[in-house]
Amino acid sequence: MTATFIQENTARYLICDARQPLITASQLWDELLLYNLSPEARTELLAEFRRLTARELTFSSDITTLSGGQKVLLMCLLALLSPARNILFMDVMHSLDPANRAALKELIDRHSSLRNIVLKQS
Amino acid sequence: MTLSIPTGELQIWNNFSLWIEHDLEFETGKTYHLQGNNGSGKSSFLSRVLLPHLQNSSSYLLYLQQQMHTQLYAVQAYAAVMKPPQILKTEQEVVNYLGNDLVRNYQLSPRPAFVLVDESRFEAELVGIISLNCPLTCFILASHHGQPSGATLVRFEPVTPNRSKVCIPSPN
Repeated sequence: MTATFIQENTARYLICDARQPLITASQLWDELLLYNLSPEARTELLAEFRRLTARELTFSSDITTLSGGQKVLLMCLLALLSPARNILFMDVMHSLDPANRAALKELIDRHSSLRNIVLKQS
Repeated sequence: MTLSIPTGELQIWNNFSLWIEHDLEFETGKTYHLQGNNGSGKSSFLSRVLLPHLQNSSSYLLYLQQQMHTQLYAVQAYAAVMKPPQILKTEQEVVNYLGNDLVRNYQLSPRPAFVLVDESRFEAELVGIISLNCPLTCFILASHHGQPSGATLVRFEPVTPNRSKVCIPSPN
């Protein structure tokens, strides 16, 4: 079902798979370039990440040192703050603790009025 | 066989340490559940503390990484060139392959085994395959989805964003 959905919608959706949350393997800046965030969105990204994890990131932070769950949260924030109109999140809740699952659900709800967000499990 | 981690402060990364409150002992034939919030150090404990100890021991070792896509490709390539070659398409097939490989080797030459699983969606199936066939196995499982039955809880409690305490809560 999920594979079919992806095949049919690859060109329409920003696909974010928690099994491979980060594409680059260096500084946050490199990952940011993939998502086309505005300057305001970049600032919001750092603030939201700090609120969720109590961890300070800068654009030169090495994102490979984040925990698995923190990488998933960062991927979700990047997608939600990007200009993408359609986002597919795959397996994003699995590696999150209960508090972060609730926080991510709230974030997705907040952004759902502006865009089409689909959650699926592989 | 018992894997012992003594009390003390372990510097895991430049900016992160784990405080082992009391000596930790991981015994074969038992299951341990590592529980703690995201970023509390569970994965680092597996990869930076337990793994180096076990890689130098004579026991069998199976380690499933969190977000195991790199490991996935390596096992798929390995399985494809072994005899008989197997084409593994999904993460579940890879996990089953590794579990069955451990069982096969254990049955040929029984000795203690340690199975470290970091947030796998297929943890229950893997534990099922191995526990039925390899009684001298110690399972150490990091997960946010409930405590496996009969498992000993190992708690990871952040003290600061850069330091967590590791402890086994008393039963009461």
